[in-house]
Amino acid sequence: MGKWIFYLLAGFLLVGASLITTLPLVIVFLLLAYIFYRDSSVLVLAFVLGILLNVYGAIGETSMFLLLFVFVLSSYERKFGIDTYPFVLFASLIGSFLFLAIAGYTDYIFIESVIASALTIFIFRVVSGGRR
Amino acid sequence: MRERKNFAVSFLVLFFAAFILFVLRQWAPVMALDNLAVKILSPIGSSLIRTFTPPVGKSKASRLKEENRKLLEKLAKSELLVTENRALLDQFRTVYPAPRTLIPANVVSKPSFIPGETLPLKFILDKGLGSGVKKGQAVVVGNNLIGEIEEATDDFSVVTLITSHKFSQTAETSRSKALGVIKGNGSRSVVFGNILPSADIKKSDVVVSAGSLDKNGDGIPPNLVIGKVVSVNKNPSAIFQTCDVESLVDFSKLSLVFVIE
Repeated sequence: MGKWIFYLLAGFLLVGASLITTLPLVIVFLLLAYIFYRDSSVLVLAFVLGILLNVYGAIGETSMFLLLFVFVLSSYERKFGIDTYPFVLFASLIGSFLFLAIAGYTDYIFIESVIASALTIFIFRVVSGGRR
Repeated sequence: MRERKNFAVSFLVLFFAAFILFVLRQWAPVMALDNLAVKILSPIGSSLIRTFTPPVGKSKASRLKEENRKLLEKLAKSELLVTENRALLDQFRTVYPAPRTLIPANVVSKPSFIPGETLPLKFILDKGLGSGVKKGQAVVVGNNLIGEIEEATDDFSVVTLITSHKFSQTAETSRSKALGVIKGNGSRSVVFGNILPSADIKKSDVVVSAGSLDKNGDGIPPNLVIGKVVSVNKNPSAIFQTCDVESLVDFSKLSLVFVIE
């Protein structure tokens, strides 16, 4: 129950923040949510956030991208550990870059991806207590 | 293992749902869902924007800058009003032409006029057919003839100034009533020609319009000042004598003129 309340609050804040910044915070959020919860609830979250954000113009497109992103994370998890700094860095960088590129952004997408990665690493470190 | 299977099934179901939404994106209920999301989220977005946007003019410098900009705007407006009021006052103190027959119009453009290089030969006014301005009407400042309406659209009109090559009108001197034709020649002075050699014309004589009103009262009324004679060219062998006449008005500085209805 607590997880869903957290999702709700964070989700609303995230969608609101997307109106004032082009930083792909949704990627950061989904990546961290999957690392910490690792269940189907993250897929539901990806679907709903995709509908709400709708950055690709047509409804459903953003959801499909975010669902695929979470699915790729789960596929990777089957063989390797995902709660490591290199993975968090790599996944957030690639995910953010693809998210922005497909959304049609052209200016500063690499810089924005780097910032998103740095933010992911920072939150990951704070939440995991620097154990990983 | 079962958890993984559930995850894969959840993924497939949700992905399919997203795909269906995408395919049916033009369907009214799906469009309504899309709009609903926007409606729900816009208050959150606007409150976040308000939170993160620094208040305008918070710092003293930016407040002063803003105040300065507003004051300059006010100053420019009041200067414009002073000029307009002065012109209107001058015009309405003028007995002839009668103020009730005048349409005040702002000069909105002086085509091909380059200050210091060329003289204005045309004005574009901000009044047109909608305000009662018609082709052929006289344009004045005080009782000085400025030009004639060449063309009028609904909201604008073109004035051919007396200095333009296109301008031609019968005129006479106010003192000796010597008749002739005024023609613009693109310079500051206009040519007062076709004057009989016997006519009595002297330097500084005032030249006024002889009038060319038609039966409807349209055209140039008589006795509008065109200018004063600055030189007289009298050649015994020529059929006519000519004069150079200079307007008493500086056309380059005009911003408000009056069309005689």
